[in-house]
Amino acid sequence: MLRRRLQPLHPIAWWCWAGTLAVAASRTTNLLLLGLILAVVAWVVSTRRGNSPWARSFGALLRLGLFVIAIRVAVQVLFGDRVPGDTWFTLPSVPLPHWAAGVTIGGPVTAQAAIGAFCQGLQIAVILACFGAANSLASSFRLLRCVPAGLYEVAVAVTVAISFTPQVVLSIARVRDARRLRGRATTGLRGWRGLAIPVLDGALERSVALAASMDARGFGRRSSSPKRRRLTAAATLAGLVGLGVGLFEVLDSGSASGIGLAVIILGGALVIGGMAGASHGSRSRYRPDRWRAAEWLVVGSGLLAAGAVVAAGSDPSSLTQPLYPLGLPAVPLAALAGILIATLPSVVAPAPAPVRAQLQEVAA
Amino acid sequence: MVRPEPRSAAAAAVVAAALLAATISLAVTAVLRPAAATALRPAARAARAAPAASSARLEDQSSWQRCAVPAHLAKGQIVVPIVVDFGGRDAKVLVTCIVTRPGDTGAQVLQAQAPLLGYSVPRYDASGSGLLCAIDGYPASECGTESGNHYAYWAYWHGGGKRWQYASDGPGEWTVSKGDVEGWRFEPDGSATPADPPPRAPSNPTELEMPATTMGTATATTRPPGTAGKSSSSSRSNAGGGGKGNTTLGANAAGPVRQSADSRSGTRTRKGLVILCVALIVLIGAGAYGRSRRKSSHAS
Repeated sequence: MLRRRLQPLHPIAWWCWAGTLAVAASRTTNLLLLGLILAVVAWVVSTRRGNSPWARSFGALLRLGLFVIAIRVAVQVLFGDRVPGDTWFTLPSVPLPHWAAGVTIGGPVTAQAAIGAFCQGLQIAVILACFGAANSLASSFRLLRCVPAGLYEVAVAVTVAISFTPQVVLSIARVRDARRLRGRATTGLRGWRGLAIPVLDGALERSVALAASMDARGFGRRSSSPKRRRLTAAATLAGLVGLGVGLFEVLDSGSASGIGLAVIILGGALVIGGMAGASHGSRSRYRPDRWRAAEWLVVGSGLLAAGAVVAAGSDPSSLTQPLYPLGLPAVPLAALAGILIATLPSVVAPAPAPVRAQLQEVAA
Repeated sequence: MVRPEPRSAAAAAVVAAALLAATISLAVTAVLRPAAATALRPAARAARAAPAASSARLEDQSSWQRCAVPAHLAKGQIVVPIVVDFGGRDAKVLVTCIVTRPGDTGAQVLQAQAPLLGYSVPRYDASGSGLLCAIDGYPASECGTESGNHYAYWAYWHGGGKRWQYASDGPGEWTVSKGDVEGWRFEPDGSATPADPPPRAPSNPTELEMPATTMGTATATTRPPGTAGKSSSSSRSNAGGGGKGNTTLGANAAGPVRQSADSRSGTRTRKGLVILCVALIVLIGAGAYGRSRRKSSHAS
């Protein structure tokens, strides 16, 4: 019973929840909807994140989002298309030759240009925040344990990379400290040369140790014939490419979404077929993550939020910031209520485990 | 003894993060931008080729009328004729003289034309891409409708010389100077290239303007924006009056449309709802901030 309560929410459930909210954000430039999505995501993160190092990624991505907004607005004001409208102020402009038409430096800055750019920047910032929330709430190690057998090689590479990077950072700091204590150069070309050799040396040693330990635990065991493995890997790869292209086609408002949907279905079928073909050999999992009612509720709340926003798109003016003329954003009540439902995980998801349990998890 | 320089390392990290973020933001904005709108914008395509059709080959010479130039211009003011061709076979061609200042944008000139004639102001793409959708309320709701490889769109032309030049920039970028003529033609089946037909009026200002001395009646003198005559036949020869008000741009010159009491109460309830929503967002955000602050102080 105790273990059941302590077991955190399935990482895929968190990623689905954050992904659906990101989809909702990608459909709208309405400031109220974007603001509410951001607030809801921040609330859930504040209530359900643990004390692990990756729990801080939400704050980091929020700051990155602020930076994106600043860059988007600054680029629009300085170099962007001169969008017509109510002029706020005029920057001194540099005349460009005829062949550079479409690019401007300076010129009149209109309210429409600045506010439109801000809304688009905020949209990206909210999508980044959703990504950061998923990183904060779900442990990336637990997520990699859920990767299906078809992506086994990729998962191993990603796991090694994730565990390797922090160690390299630590190792660099250690070598730098040692050199500083001995009065050697830590900056410039000489400093780098002195740094590179010990760090690379340490990395190689760790890689060999990691390979040995993985070998001892049965990684790299092949269950099927190489021909079959190659076939399933090719099918999975082609399917993933199809999924990516199809998603782009569907999300891009300019192209016909019928083709994109067909490509998504085809790619999904290829991926499922490839994975089914690859999961021939059996693998055992230590303390597997289970999919319980809470996971269904979390995913369902995200789907409801995204569905409400997409459904509000039947009236396109309710999802966009009105620019001509400038006005207050529309208040699509159904979409707002749907987004509020996405706060459900702050209640139904299991509370973050105390530090002791988290240490156990890292050990696992 | 070499002193450690954590500050320069931090600066390098910040610059690297900035470059990364800038790349990501640019890539994402490029992806998120509606592709149709970019494809359509004349500004996006550099029109290097000479226009195929010249003003010498006018389809219908009689469909345009000269616009009257006001007798007195204030210092620093210029007259820019603007030709708006509604495109169809028997469609009207409006020529209006706009009093403006050198350095004003093409968009400002276009904006000043509508209230003079009593039409609604130009409508732009709601997403803020700068794509012009409608002039003088035409077309009613469409915006660059695509059919096959063709678009129904307003093509932008620069006049002033012997022939019309297909604009390679948007009206928000182009600034007018003395002797310029602004041209707009609706292309019901346009290709969004310089091969599209130009406005059916001369591109030369001297052939478009009616000198002040030949002006007969008072109908052609100044009228405040928004109260101009509704009939297009009288407004066609209507002068761009001398007042400064005609050249200003903004919400006050924007609408001949008067708000009804009904829509005003609708605005009030919407304002209330918006305030309610903002309060909710602030409440949830503050709650999240407070919780995370408490948690981090516990942790440390």
